[in-house]
Amino acid sequence: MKEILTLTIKLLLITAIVAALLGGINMVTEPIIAENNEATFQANLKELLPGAENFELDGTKLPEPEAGVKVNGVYCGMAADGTPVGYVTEAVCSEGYGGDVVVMTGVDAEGKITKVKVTEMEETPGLGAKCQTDWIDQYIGLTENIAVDKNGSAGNNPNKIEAISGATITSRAVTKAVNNSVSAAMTVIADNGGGAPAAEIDGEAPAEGEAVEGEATADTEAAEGEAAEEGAAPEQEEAPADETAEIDAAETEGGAE
Amino acid sequence: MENKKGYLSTFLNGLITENPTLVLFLGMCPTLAVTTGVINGVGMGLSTTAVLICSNIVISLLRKFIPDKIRIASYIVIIAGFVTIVQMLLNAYVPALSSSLGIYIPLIVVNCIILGRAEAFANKNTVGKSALDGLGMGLGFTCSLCIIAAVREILGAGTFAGIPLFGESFKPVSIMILPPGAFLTLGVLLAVINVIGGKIKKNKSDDTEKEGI
Repeated sequence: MKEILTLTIKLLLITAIVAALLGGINMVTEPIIAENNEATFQANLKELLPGAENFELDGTKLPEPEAGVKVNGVYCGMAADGTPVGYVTEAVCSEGYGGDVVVMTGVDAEGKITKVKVTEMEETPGLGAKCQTDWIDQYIGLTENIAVDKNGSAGNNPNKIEAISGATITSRAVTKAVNNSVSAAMTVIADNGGGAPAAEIDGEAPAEGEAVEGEATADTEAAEGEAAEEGAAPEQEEAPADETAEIDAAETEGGAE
Repeated sequence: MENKKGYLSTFLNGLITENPTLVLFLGMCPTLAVTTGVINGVGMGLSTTAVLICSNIVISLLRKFIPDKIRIASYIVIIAGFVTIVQMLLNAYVPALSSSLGIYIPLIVVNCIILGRAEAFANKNTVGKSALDGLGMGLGFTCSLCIIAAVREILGAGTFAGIPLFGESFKPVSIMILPPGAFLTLGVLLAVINVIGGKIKKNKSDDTEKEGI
């Protein structure tokens, strides 16, 4: 009886000390780790969308992705003065050879891919792991619905990438994630009428809105009409859409939004 | 004098005579899994060495406190605690290193070299010797990982530590980088070691026989 008690107490003592140590160190390191992760994520966002300084998670309702893909979020990238530059989408495709492939895709305001980065993967070294080399740069400049070309299977479709030899599954998984990311970004672009949501501009650049106000008061109604029209064709005239959106925001603060 | 010799042989024991991978066959799982590149091998080997030294020291310090009946449970708690602490510290203060070693650090917990040395050495020996045993065993593990990884990486990807060795015309044997390659390399390496080891043993026994006569 006495022996069992000593054993129990000693084991309890050891586990308690280890647990206390772990808890203490976790308390110290947890905020630092979160900060590091956030810094890496921000650095990735900036790398994917050159020219953008600030990023904000866009709350727009996203389209349902294909089976096997999960879109984590679309981030609106803005230049230092608050003008939107494009979008970065993070998506996970579970159909990689070694499991999940996490892909971040940068898209400019016209829906063209600026850069793609595979941030996490467990593909085979030497084969699928090549998706983290320059191979990924093939995506730059492409648009929605990219095809994966394997020995010429995609024909003369210009919107295609060459599969990694020996790792077609990985190539397909990355492409699937990219395609769904681009469609999510396109939905956001369409929803925002080619620019950033009015609410953001309202907060970010009030001075600019005021400056235009004097001139534009008379035209506001017309401008609003224009903005609505342009919402339907967001890719063609991005700059005017922005201006009108700004006037809109300055004029109708808290009103019709 | 004898004491000093004891320390040296403890160190060499882990490195050569009782090399954990090639002689004791401990830690086969990480050996087969991570040897796809030399850098991985070095990373896994060195992080295991660090944990092995620390856990050997602590267990040897506590060897009189821990009762025999609950020793395995205590060792596992201590080792797992150590690994987790190392992982958290690396993650917080050296994020670059931790992102390249990321998946190997948790794997150290299940590396039976560490529990094996705690059980076979650290709980019977002094702190100094246990630390040396950890160093020797860890470096022995690192060396064998590097050898296997070098063979696999050179044949399977045509690179050494990520640097391309051959021109464009080299066609890598991709099976060497896939799991079967690990078994093939390990098998051949063990065969070579056994042939060499067998010869050395034979020479030695010949010598002792002569001395006997």
